[in-house]
Amino acid sequence: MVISVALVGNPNVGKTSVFNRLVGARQYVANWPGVTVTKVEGATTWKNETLHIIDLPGTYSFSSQSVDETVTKNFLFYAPPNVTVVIADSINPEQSFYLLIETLELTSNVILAMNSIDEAKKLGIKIDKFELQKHFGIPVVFTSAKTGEGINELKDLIVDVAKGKYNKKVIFDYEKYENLISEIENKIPDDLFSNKRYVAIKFLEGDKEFNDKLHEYIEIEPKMLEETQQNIPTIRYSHVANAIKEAYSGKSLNIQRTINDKIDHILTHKFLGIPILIFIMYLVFKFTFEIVQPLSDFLDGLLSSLSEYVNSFGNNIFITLISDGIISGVGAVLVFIPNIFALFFALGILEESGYLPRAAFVIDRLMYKMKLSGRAFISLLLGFGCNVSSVMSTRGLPDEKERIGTILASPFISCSARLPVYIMITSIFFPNNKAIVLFSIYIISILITAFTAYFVNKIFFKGEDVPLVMELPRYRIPTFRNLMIYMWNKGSHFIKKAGTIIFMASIVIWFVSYFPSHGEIETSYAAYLGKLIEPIIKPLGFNWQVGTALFFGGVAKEVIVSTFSMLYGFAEQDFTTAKLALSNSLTPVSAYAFLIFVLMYIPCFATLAAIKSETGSWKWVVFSVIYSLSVAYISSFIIVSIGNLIF
Amino acid sequence: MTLDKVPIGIKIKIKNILDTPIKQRLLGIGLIPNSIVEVVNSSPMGDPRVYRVFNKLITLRNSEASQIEVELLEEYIPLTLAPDGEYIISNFIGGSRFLMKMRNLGLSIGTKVKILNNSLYIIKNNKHISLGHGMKEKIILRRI
Ligand SMILES: Nc1nc2c(ncn2[C@@H]2O[C@H](COP(=O)(O)OP(=O)(O)O)[C@@H](O)[C@H]2O)c(=O)[nH]1
Ligand SMILES: [Mg+2]
Repeated sequence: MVISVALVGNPNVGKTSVFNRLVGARQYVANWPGVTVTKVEGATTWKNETLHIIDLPGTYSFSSQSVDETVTKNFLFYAPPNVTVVIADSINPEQSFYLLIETLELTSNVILAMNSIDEAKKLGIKIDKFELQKHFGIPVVFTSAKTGEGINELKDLIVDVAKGKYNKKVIFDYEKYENLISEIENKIPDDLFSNKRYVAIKFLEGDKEFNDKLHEYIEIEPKMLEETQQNIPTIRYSHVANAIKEAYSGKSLNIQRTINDKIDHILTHKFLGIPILIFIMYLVFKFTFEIVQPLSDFLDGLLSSLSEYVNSFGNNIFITLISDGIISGVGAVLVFIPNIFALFFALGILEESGYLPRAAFVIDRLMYKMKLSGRAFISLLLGFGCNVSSVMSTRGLPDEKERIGTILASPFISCSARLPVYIMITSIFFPNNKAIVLFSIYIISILITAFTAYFVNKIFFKGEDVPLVMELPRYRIPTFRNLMIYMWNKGSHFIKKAGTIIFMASIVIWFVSYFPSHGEIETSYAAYLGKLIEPIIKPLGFNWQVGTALFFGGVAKEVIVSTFSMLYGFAEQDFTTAKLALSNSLTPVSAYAFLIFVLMYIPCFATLAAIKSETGSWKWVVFSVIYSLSVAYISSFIIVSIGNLIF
Repeated sequence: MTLDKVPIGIKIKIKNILDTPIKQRLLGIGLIPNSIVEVVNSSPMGDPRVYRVFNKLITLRNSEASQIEVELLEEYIPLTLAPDGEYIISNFIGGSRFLMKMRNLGLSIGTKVKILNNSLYIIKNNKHISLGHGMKEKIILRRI
């Protein structure tokens, strides 16, 4: 039997950690059909049953309009899984129990997992399992995603519940509104909804979907609706308070609180907060781009030996295709795998430890100026790894205006795929000022991103604000296990890209540069293409080789490096030959303009595809392409003009 | 009074949430009438701020907090917001240096004080104490 299991919970309660515990690394990431929220699924076998587990987006309730909450609600309501596991935070259970009550109203076959039980024990908090079971009428298990406690018991319970072992149902009483609720239930047509009580309650809470569908059947005074909208959640919280009063005893939470508050006092400090943020970002960069460099160099050595080895088999067209086309093309990208994994490792630490939301909090005022919230900051930050992940992470943003603004701005965040180009160009043209030049590119990247977000909001949304209602989770030491899975899930995307898009692009590039004149690049199709673009980019100081590289770089920015290496016939990272070749094409000034152009000009294929799928419209894709090309051209032109005056 | 006007360190009770597009979000997260919320901290630029809602830290911009109507707790009134009347000092929000300073002025936890025309007097000896706004914000009173 296949048992479908959904994990539900507030953000930061440890949903993903429990999920990782349940399924290990065997998980895959896809999209919810129609909408743009990430769907993480995985499977495991237990007692001869297959558990198919879905990690739903974190929510506090099912009432607000955010995409995440709607997805979770619709999934549980329209396609209920066999078993729903609500993951609660044992230390701060209020909001978790609130969501639990909503879930119990929405679906049956629910299990409550009291997670972080290790922390609760350490703090001396006592929780009475049987009281909880009595109050909510469902099986309860104490789990710790950190120590693994209770995970097997949870699996046992899932199987038991799926087999129908527990079927008690507790009804939560809405006191003076009960009459109203049944009145509404009676008016809901039978063929519309089956779980009428839930629909009636949500109707009274002002749920948009149900109000749209039911307003022709039900008349209610706006005054009454306004009252129930506030009072139903309030009554629900009183049920929560009752359950906690009965089930919780032991020490209070003050110790945990003071440690947390002390760290917060420093990390969000009036004067220190922002310098600390900048310093932490600096460390992330240092780790990503310097500390792991020897690994990249090692990988590079391996790839060159491989290429040489292949070449030793002779000199026919297939061998050139493999060594010059595929190995050097794909290899040019593969050497950056250590950097990319390091970046996600660092981001993983920030996210797991709880610092990332603080960063959003500290920086919100600035983000607010660009008509975003501090949360968009997190999305944009991810863009330093890959713009696709930042475009995709905008799903967590509850506000449409902010989503569009962030999506359109994020391609200007300098992703790691652009790094190979920067490293090659800076090593050749600015060997003594590498760090400064790189830093300036990142600063410019941030400025243009901010400008774009503001510009998009001003033009398309008339400057409306975006809310910031966000939880600051307690600080925790990241677990190695979660970090590895996080790093692998995000980083493997890059490997996949290397295996598909870049693999194909390498072959195509090799073909157009090999034919029609059998390796004579000067007269190849590639040269022809570059020469076609040359007049347009001439004012920027770029020649046709640069044009060809930029053209192919539209596929994926890192392809620029492999295009250069093929056009000029130097090995990857063989900077002495590359230097000779490239310094004939570019002056330091136009090289800098080139870096800026690469930073800004059109989002790569994968990003454009993500923009299309996230916004659901070609309009934004077209806007993004035209806007970014114009910005890139204008900026580079300004740099060349000013640079040539000075130098 | 609205939540954005409450000084840092103060606990207050929520009265009502005005009709805002994020009302349901706020209710779901636990900002419900009659619940007690503490203003914990502010970001470096003063906006947004963090609030303790049941044991969770929730951030709100001042523009959002201004949609939440609150009332002072009888036993937890910051000096800056206390109307004329008699009070007992119930708490100080500050470090040991602040406490020392207060003690030198004759103010400690349990001291009975009186507020008259926005001025602070110690009831015992009718001594007038003048304090800056920043210090006043850190003194918490309970109504007698
Ligand atoms: N001590 C402890 N930490 C946990 C536990 N579960 C999760 N965490 C930590 O809590 C943080 C948030 O966990 P995550 O799974 O990302 O939460 P999600 O937002 O609900 O998916 C991470 O730092 C986890 O390592 C637990 O049972 N015990
Ligand atoms: Mg998660």
